[in-house]
Amino acid sequence: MKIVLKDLTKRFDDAVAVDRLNLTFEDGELTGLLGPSGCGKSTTLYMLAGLENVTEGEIWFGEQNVTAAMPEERNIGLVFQNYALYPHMTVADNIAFPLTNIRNPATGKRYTREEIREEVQRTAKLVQIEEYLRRKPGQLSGGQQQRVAIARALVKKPKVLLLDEPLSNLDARLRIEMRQEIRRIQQETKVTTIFVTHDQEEAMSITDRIVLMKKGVVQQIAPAHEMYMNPCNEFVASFLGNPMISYLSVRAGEGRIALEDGTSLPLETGLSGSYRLGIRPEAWVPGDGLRVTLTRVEQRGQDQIIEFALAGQKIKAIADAATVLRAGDSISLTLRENRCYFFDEKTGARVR
Amino acid sequence: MKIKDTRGAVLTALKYAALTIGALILFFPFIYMVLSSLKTAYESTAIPPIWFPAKPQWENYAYAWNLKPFLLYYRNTLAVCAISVAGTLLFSVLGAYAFTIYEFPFKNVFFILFMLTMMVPEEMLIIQNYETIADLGLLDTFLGIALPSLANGFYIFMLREYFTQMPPALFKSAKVDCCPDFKFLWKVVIPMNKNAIATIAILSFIGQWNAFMWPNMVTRSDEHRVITSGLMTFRNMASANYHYLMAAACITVIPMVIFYVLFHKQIISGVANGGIKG
Amino acid sequence: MKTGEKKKRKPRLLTGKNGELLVASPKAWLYLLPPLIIFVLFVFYPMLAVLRTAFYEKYVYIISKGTGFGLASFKYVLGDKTFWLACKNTGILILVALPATVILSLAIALMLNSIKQLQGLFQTLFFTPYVTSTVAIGTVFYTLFHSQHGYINYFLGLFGIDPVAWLTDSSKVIWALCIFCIWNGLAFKIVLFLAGLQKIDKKVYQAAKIDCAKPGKTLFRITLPLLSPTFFMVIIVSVIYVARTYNEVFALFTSVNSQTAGSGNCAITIAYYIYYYFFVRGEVNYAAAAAVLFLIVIMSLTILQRVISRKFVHYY
Repeated sequence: MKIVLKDLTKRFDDAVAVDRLNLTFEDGELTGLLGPSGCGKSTTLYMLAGLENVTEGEIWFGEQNVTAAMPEERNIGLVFQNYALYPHMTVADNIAFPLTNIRNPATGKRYTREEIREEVQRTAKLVQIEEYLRRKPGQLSGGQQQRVAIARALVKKPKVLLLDEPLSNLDARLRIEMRQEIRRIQQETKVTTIFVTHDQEEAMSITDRIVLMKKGVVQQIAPAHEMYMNPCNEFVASFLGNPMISYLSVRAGEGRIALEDGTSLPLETGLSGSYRLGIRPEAWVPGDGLRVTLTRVEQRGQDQIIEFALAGQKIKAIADAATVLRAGDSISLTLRENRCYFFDEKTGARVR
Repeated sequence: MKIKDTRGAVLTALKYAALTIGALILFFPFIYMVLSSLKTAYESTAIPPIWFPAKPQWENYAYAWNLKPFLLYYRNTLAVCAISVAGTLLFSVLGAYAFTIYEFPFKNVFFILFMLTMMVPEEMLIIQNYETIADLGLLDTFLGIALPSLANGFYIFMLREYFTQMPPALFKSAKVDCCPDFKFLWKVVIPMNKNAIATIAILSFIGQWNAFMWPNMVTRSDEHRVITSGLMTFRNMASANYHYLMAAACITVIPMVIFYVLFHKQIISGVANGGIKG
Repeated sequence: MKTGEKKKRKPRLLTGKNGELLVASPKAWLYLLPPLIIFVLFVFYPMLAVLRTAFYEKYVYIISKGTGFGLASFKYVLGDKTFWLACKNTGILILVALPATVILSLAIALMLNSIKQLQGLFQTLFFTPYVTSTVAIGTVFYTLFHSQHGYINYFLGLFGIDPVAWLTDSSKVIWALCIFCIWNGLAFKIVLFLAGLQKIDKKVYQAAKIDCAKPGKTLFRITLPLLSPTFFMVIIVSVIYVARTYNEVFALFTSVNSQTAGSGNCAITIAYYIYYYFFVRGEVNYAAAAAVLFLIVIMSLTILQRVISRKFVHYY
């Protein structure tokens, strides 16, 4: 099911939560709605679900304008952050619940007990929860409850699957395992899926495309790798990547870039004027360029995060784990051009 | 350290003693009631008191039972309680649900109105309710006795508190799953609030069983008389015969005591969590 | 569902203050109307009807017709010594019996809260009066209070006190009533105070011990303030309950011949006054006037208490 949002806007009294969103979600895609709190991603998701009213604009599911449709008319599945399982029903009954409310599209009549059992079995197998069908949600772990919630959302074979920060309540290890599960399930069912999260790593690891939002406005829409490599503005560059990108105010021109404290680096940019230079931590490589004294070193096992000052700014870089570095050490670094980005000082838009 | 321990021990002993004495004093009327119900006429009014009957006079109960139709009174009280409890549950659940999931004009006004009814004393309303019940032809009927008791704002308030404490995502999820409002009430809200609903049933049962003023006013004949009213009519006939009187009082009180013994935990916790008589 | 709707539909789903989903639909009336009808019929309509009746000079119940619109009924009631006796008796109950009950039940609750074993058993015993009908136990007290054959006078006699004519001496009836009301009122308050005390985190007492607070100080500076929400709630409910004393009066004093509360209505309370003038004497307008005055008193008491509790309740 292809989903199209046309000028979708949501206003609360004076505040604009979602500002003229124009998006297309292709059939069978797994899209991440990413952004900090208050950026409008959850609001957008709930407007898609029909649980939040649309102030302006339209939502199209395929050929149908569903903007004014109630949630029960939209044939969607929704997985909540805290799963919202019915605690007094068994897992099987929880999963079966949607089927008890709708008609079987194949027969046009209510689902029979047999049909329900079959569908529940099928969906439970898909999410790998068959052994727990007799249990109550209270007896399951977080990850298992998550699977039940997904099963319940999928049992009626919806056209769209929506997930609202489904992994926030899980511990770190489980989060990584479950996000892969979500990806696998989505690939098997090929259902158009939209997934809200504030965790950039999560969004990058499993989605086909990311929609990055800030204060109700879409900043960039791109697959993860593209968005990381080619951020269109400062916000996008800052949001993706861990450790975060570091910034310097520079003057570019004549094949060099000059920092505020006078040091200059040879870098052919084709620009002249003042800019903000964003440097990804992995842009620094050992070499002859700058001699810096490390102020802090964090061991990560697979590498080291080093911090040093440049023109009064704190710069973070990643260094190989081969030689152990310590605060106070002096090393020489140069820049890899393709991980440096130049942003307009006033607008934050990417220039180069 | 030792002195403190003994002081603590003495204090605790004193507390237990005080509580035991207090309990005995409080319980004395019950003990007296049971003992006196088994005395002879002479024993029951003797001063200095004859505490224990020489021989338990079980005939007293037979006499009381025959003088006034207590079995009928039991049945009548059960019938009235059944109507009252069923009606209270029905209206409280429906009313609370309306305030939980719906938005309608003057919602707040209606809620305050329901709450205000808790402030209005029953004694004022009987004046008109009597006429209303009479006009409806319900004087001296079970429905006439039970009906006014159904207007209890407290339970609507209490249930609404419980209903709104359910996670909001449950209703949203149900909506996405195409669940109709009534089905959500029946299949989710009520099962999840079983305890509160049971407590309301128990408390209103106790309240209605022990109610006196209204049932007494509305009853004309023994046909629909409830047990509290029945006891008073019994007293009118046997007021000087303490042994019969105490037997009748025991007959009145025993069913509720049995109910209490069975459900005391739930009753006490129900009251402690904000339940108020009837 | 509607199809082909061109105009914009009014929003049907709303989000409430706490993130809850609300449905704006006329279906709400399906749920609201049943209880509402009962309430209108048996609370709101009677309130207004009684209010109207109170302003008649004469009212014939059977045909529901009143004559003489004015304050005559109020004048009568306010000039009636029986009414003032009712007010006095009710007042004594509220100002004497109730505080006594509160102090006793608080003491018992504090003791119960501090013991480790048998708490449940004692609580169950103390709560029994709540589940037994007031008129039944009133009948028991009726025998206990008898001037010659009652055990209470016998007990007093052991201390050399002369027998008291509890139920017949018009100056003594109010004390019999007080004693019974105190006995009856303990159960509810003990349970509620105990529940309130148990809600207080035990660690607070440990902190007080470490701060070298003496037991008396702990009681008044820590326990009672933390109990204040429960305390004021119990007071509010109890004042209204005591103001409506009726069953106790009927059980102790009413005889079949005259339906008065003791000879000459000496044990009358406001609630009984209303009942007496309405049901026994059939003078509905006077009963209504008294009821309206009663309502005003109750509402004032409630508002007064809410104001006081706002000042004194410590929430935590």
